[in-house]
Amino acid sequence: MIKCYLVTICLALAASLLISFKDNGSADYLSAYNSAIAQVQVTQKQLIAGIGASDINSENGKREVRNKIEDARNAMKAADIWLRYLEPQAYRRINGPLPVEWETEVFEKFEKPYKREGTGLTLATLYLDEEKPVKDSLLSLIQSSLSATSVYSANSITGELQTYHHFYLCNRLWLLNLAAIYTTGFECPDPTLVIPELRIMLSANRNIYTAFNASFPATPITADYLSLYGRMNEFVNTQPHDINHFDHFKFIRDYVNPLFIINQQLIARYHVVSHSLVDYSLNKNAVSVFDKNLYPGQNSKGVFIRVTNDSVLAEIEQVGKLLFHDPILSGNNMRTCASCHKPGQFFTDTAFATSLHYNRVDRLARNSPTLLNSSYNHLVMLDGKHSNLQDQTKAVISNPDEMGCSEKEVLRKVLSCKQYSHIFCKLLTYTPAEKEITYDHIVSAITWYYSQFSRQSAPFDGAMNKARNVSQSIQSGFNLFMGKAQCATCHFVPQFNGVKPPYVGSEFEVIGVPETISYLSLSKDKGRYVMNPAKETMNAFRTGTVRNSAHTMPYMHNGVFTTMEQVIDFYDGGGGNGHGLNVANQTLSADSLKLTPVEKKDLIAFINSLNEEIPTEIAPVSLPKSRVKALNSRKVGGIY
Amino acid sequence: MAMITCIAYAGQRSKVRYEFPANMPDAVKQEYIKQCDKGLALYDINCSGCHNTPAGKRSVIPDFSQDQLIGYELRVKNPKHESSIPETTVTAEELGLIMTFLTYKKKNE
Repeated sequence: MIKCYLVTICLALAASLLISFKDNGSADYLSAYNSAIAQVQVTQKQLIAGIGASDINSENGKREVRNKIEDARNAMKAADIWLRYLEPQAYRRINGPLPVEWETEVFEKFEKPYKREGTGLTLATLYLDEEKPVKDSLLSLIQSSLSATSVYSANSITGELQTYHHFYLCNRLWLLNLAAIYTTGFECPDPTLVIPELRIMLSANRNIYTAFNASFPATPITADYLSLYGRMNEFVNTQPHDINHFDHFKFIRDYVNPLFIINQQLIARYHVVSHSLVDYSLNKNAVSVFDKNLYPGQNSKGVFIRVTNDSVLAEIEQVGKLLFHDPILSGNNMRTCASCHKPGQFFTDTAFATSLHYNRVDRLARNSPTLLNSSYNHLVMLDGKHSNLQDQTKAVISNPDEMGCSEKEVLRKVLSCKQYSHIFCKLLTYTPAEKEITYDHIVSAITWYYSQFSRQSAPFDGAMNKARNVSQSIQSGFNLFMGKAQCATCHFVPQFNGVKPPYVGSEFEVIGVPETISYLSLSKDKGRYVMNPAKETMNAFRTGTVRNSAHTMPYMHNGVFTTMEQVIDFYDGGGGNGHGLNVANQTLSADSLKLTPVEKKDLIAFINSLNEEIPTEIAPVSLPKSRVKALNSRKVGGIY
Repeated sequence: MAMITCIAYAGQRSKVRYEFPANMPDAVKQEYIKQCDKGLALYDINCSGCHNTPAGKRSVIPDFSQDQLIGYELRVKNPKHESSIPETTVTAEELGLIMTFLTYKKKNE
């Protein structure tokens, strides 16, 4: 009995020691967190008081308020590593980029797009520049920002800080944002403040790393990381203030990406576990920011998702290839996927602004986008109509303007071919939820087939991974892309599409594309509005990738531009508004970018460095025979 | 008053029954049965290894509360799910089918 008591007392002592060790251990880090959040709140309150005391319609008053906004932004940046990861929705109220955003994030793909209202510091700066700003409206933007900051003191969030796990995930998101948005002016309306804010962030994080290592000595951020981080600080401190002269190329290649790589290694070494939806799309095994496995935007395997055997996957790819080139999927047995997405033309149709209508007379309303890299979007189609590739494939097959064939007919005709039915019967083993061959098996084989061509990398990826060199012109072009030309505020690293960290949603933009190259009127296509009617979505289109652009002309949703030079001139001139069109909700600045001819040339050199080494694809020699004789006259690839 | 549908199962798991609201129209019910059957097959592949409990020679599918079956939160609520049911192993659509099955599975006695 006494022995039992002694054991209990010993256990209790051990437990209390453990608890006190944990408390002391995490004190440095928690204290750093609490003071950073408190500092954000102090500066927000000072800003509110400053607005109250200033005449915001006078130049002096505006200047005073701007200085206070800057103080609040600096405090926010010093806590950025936590703010954006731990509560992304609250962050949007602290520093939202837009007053209204319509979203469908990857984990909410079955829900209708919903409205998220942004408030905070960026919008306050923009509002202050408007004619006759009203004090109450300005105050309301900041009060919302202050109230959002209090969320970060909730137990549900501070509880996460008790272990090391969240830290490496916060840091990962922060590094990805360093690569994608923090040096581009995204969410920072004054371009002269982008680099100073970056320096504040880098300096604050150095202290956060020190506090973390003091609190979690068993899972430290390593010496090699800290050493490289120190060198990154030195590099940034020697760079010009102006983002247009900042060396984005070296910053990402020599510092951000290598730090990301080490952080990924630490995530693996310390068996970091996520409790956050922020990590939903991010792959722990990605070995670089420029690894195509960084985030799996789409499940290109469809119903074959659990197949990992290479020979089975090759078999699915082969049947997918046959189907892709087989007019049996069309109502008149004359059209195929390859009719508009020609494998020899980077899976698009480079010859026409818009492809031929099913009726062989008219033209389709929109340009056929390349299928290459479509798997790195969360929403597909130019209006984001579908949330997965398989639904998109089905929609094209059944669309009377495109392939005009019903699900029932497709199944009947495909299964009339012994070769198809034999392969799919075999593959049923891998889809135990399905008792018979379905339409999903057919479209999944197609999406798996064409997605194989999205695995390739480009010379620019090689340069970022330090596996090859690229010319000075390409490096200058990338720096323009990230800075002066403002491309990267919509086309985000690393896919250069509209998916930004943490890669859970596709963005849409209104750029004012004209109906014709003469800029007489705006394109009549309502874009995203058709899917989600709202004033912000009128004429909005999903931001496509810049990869392979040299091979995927013509450009824009209506294929109005036939050369890359025309596209760059369009942006250089301020989009639709800048060219004299009236686009009330344009999300692109109407001001000229003032790009010089040499800069345009460099920009194109960079864009060309994103051309991927796509293997040459040869169409199948023949198609599976059907027991329906009339179907056996069909031609590989269709006839139009 | 609830309508109960049975399905046969050839493995070692106890027979599974579904329970639907009594006022659910037959056509709708038939659709739900199809969905539940798919969900059951997917549950067997992806979830049963960790969640089923042995009962003699058979294994029993536990009852889950509605709080445990909140859409995409399933992916992160249970730390093991991060590696066992990521989006690259179980699609969002399949997760929906599994939850439909678990919602309408008759509760264990």
